[in-house]
Amino acid sequence: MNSKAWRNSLIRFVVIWLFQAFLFKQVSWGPGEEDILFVFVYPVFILMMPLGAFEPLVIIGGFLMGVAVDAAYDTLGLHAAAATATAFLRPRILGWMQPPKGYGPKTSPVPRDLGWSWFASCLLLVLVFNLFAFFLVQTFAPQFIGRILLKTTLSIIPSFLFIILGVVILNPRA
Amino acid sequence: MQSNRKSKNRFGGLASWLTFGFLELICFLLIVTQNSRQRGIASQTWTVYSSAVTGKVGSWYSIFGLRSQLDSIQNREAELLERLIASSLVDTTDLRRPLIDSASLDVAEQYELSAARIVTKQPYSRSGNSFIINKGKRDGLTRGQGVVGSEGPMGIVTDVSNRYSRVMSVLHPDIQISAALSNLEYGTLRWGGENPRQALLLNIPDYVDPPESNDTIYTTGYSAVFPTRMPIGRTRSFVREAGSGFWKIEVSLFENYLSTDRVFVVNNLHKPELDSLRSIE
Repeated sequence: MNSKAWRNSLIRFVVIWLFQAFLFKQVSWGPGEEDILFVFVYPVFILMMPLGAFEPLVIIGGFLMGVAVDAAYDTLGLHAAAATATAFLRPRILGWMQPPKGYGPKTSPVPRDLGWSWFASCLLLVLVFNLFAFFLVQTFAPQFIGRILLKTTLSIIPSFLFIILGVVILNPRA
Repeated sequence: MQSNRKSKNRFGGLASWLTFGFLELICFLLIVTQNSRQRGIASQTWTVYSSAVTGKVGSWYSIFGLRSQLDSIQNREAELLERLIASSLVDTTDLRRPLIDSASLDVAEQYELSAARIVTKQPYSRSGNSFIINKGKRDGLTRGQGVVGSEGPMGIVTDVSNRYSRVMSVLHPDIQISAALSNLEYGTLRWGGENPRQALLLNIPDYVDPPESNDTIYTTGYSAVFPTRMPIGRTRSFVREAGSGFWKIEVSLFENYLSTDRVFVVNNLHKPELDSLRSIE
């Protein structure tokens, strides 16, 4: 099971990266010269890595995804920093959202196993954290907290919707 | 089973922390080296904080520096007042009183001192030192004027621009100062090139009595550059230089040339007169 889950994660890595780099990169919007709305779907990769995975491996996975996205966006280090931090925080999020019975040994972090409300809540937390972290390092100045929060809020909505759409269509098993 | 492990160890163990820390460090380095905006902010932040620290440290230094400078200026002032009083009393027993004064010339009339500040100093060098002071042609300075510190001669003006002057320091092998022992035997004071607090007194013939140790050395004023009878230093040791016929006397200088930055430019008001007589020779 474990090897199958990791194989699925690897496929997801490639597919999500392709979508992020070639489709969603084209979608960004802002009223002025600076864009404030982005679509980032890659954080779902971090959420969907196998549940019982060795945590440093998850962190490395997040880092690699971030670096890959950075390579496409020409922002070396920014997405990597945010994704690494998100991957580090993933066990805490999973702990908060733990179902009453706990996670079973064969459970995967997908709606098919844990339900849509669980998945949507976890995804929202991951997105909030990942995008906030990204816009923080992108602005690189905590003084602009208003602008960081605005970008985070505006970007979460389309990112969340596109990820849910993709998960609905594919409905992965693991 | 898995849930137990997770709730016990939500942030992973040491391995998670290390991986996280290491990768974030890499990210941070990438961010500040590969992204111009972030690099700019990072370097500006660094500048702001480091200059704040430097500024604070610098202001402490200048507070301490100012105190010692004020002290030396006050000492100098006291000394000048002493001299004025002494010269008006014409006390011939006081060795520190200008000699020329005994010829009924008033020191206050012959020598004018004007305060100046060292603005540029090259790093100390054994091959010769010089510095630049904040007085120049418009303050009436000319080549060849002497510059003194509170504790003794500092140097001689070699170049003058409108606002500034270059002064060849006493710590320069090209400078020779006419200097005398307290028994009035006189010779030439020259820097040895080794120690910034030591010089050599040369050309005192070896037929005179051996100098006393710890004897004070004074300027003679014969060259009309420095005021007469200004203390320079103390004798440290002396040897008869074989075959030369002269004493070789080591002198500890009073003035600390490396730390002083307030000086006085000597204006010998009688110099044109003396020079005109000298040129007759």
